[in-house]
Amino acid sequence: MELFSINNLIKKAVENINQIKESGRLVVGIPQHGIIPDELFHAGGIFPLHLTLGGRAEQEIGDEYLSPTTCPFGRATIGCFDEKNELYSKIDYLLTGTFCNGVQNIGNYAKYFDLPVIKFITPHTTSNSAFTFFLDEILKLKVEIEKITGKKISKNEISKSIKLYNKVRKLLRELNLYRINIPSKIQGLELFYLVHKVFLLGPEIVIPELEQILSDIKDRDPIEKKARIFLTGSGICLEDNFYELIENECNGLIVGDDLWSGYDFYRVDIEENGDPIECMAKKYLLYNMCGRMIPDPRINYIFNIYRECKAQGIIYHILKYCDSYSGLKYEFKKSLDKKQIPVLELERDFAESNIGQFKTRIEAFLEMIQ
Amino acid sequence: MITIGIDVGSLTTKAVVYDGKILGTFISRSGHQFERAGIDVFNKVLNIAGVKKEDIDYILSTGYGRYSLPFTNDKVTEITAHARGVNFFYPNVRTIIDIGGQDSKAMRVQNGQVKDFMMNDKCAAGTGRFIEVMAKALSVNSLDEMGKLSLQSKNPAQISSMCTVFAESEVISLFAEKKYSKVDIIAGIHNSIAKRIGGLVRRLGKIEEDVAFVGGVAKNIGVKKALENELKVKIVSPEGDYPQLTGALGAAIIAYERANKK
Repeated sequence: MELFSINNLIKKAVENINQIKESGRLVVGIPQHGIIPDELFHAGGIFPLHLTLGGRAEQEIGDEYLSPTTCPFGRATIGCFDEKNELYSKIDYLLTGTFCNGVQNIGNYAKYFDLPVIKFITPHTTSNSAFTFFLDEILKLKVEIEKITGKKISKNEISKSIKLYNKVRKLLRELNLYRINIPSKIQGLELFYLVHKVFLLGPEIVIPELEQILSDIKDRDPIEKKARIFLTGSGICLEDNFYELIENECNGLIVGDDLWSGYDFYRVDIEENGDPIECMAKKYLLYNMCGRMIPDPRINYIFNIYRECKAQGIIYHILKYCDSYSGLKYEFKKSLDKKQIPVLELERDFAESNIGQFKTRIEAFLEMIQ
Repeated sequence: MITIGIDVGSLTTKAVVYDGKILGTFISRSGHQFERAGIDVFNKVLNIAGVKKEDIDYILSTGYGRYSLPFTNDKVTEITAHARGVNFFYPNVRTIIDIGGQDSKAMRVQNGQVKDFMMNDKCAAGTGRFIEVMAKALSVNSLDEMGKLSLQSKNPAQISSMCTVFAESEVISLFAEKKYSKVDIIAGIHNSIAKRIGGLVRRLGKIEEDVAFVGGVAKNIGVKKALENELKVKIVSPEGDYPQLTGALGAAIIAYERANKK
């Protein structure tokens, strides 16, 4: 299997998107954040392309549009649209909403790229009224998709898509066990890469590859690194080198995470028995563990999965101006200090000028906990 | 067993030869070629200690340029190294403040082991480079002199900018306005550094004593006093050049332990 080649993955994603467009299907760009039902677009015949590209150069282009107090993800995404890269230029619609300030800003600036916007308003709480509202939003989204494609989406089609996505999630969870258990046989970087393959290529293409890895993984050599790390906080974009920095340059092993760009994507399945729309709403709202939720549901949850992963410390990753994760950072650290869990807090953007400082912090943290 | 710790910092490169006690030390400017600085310091410290290259059992590098030296056995971060170096002088220290050329760090330690740490962001505020720029703006020759002058101040100026570039403009304006004397401005600069470092230390939780202050800036008595006022604790620093050498010393001690385990 070909691993960790971001350029190859982007090349494949471009080929895939070209085929999708040639077949007459539409493409929607999704700034994921763990709250958008991909299954609904899939059932409606629209390809949900997760927006996860962009690095330092795109962030700088984004600076020309957005305030520097917008998160690097938001700025880099706008930079990608400005660059008219081969992938983003194929997007027909942009989904945006109230997930966070960065995503809202991406939506506000879509007009500069002649991109029609689909709005999806997402609550920040899990109360009954929030759930009813969210359910209604999903129904509205379904109607919007039907209007765009001119085709009704049947319950059967939604159930089929749910089953397909559940299958990819189940395979990723099985693989994840090989990173959680000691000795680990898969790095965090590899799982991160595989999740992004689903984001960019769709589940149908990735499922056979995941099955192949699962049948081969038992024969792999154990991975030996300095220390086992749990990664929490802001999501990591595909072209960001943060996983490489921790695992390849500093020799740590990310054995668990709760990122929307990682474990959160495959953590929970959608129930297959019951009304599919309601089941989708449950998974995406009631099981949402994103820092955008009020109150922040993560502390107890993280404590439990940190133990399951047998991690030795937590890296709390904050993209600058990602309010969902920076607001409670002191409270978060204090709570984990009380449980005697070592936490390294790293606030960063996509600039490369301070890589040396981050490397020192990560290495010192690994030396401290090993 | 004889070992060497080499701390390649952004401004200065330091080396310590160690065999259970300190046999020799040397400090030199790093310049822009870390590898050359490391080799020079290595050769000079061997001469000073009266030790031959072939007698060295283990070499450990640390500091910003720790990856630049091809002749070492291994490398360790300056955070781990300073904790061990400080422990050599002060075994009861629980909090370390290290202000170097381009970094400032606060560490909570126990028996020479790091328990938690905080580090400054990428800007130069509150670092040795910041004081160097301010010293230049005020025509003061050295860190030591900055420290001594600041102790004469009775009315420290308020420096509101912590960005090195803006603070330099602010300092020049204050000087031009003749509202404050040079010593008051220097004391104001030290207070502003102490405030920033105080924030870093407090983020570690309750300040645990004893508190040690190391790194090149610890040789500036004015910053040390300002930190004592800010944190309301007594701060200890090793004598002479040793505040600057604790990283290299810590690396040499870790090297010594590793060599003995071989």
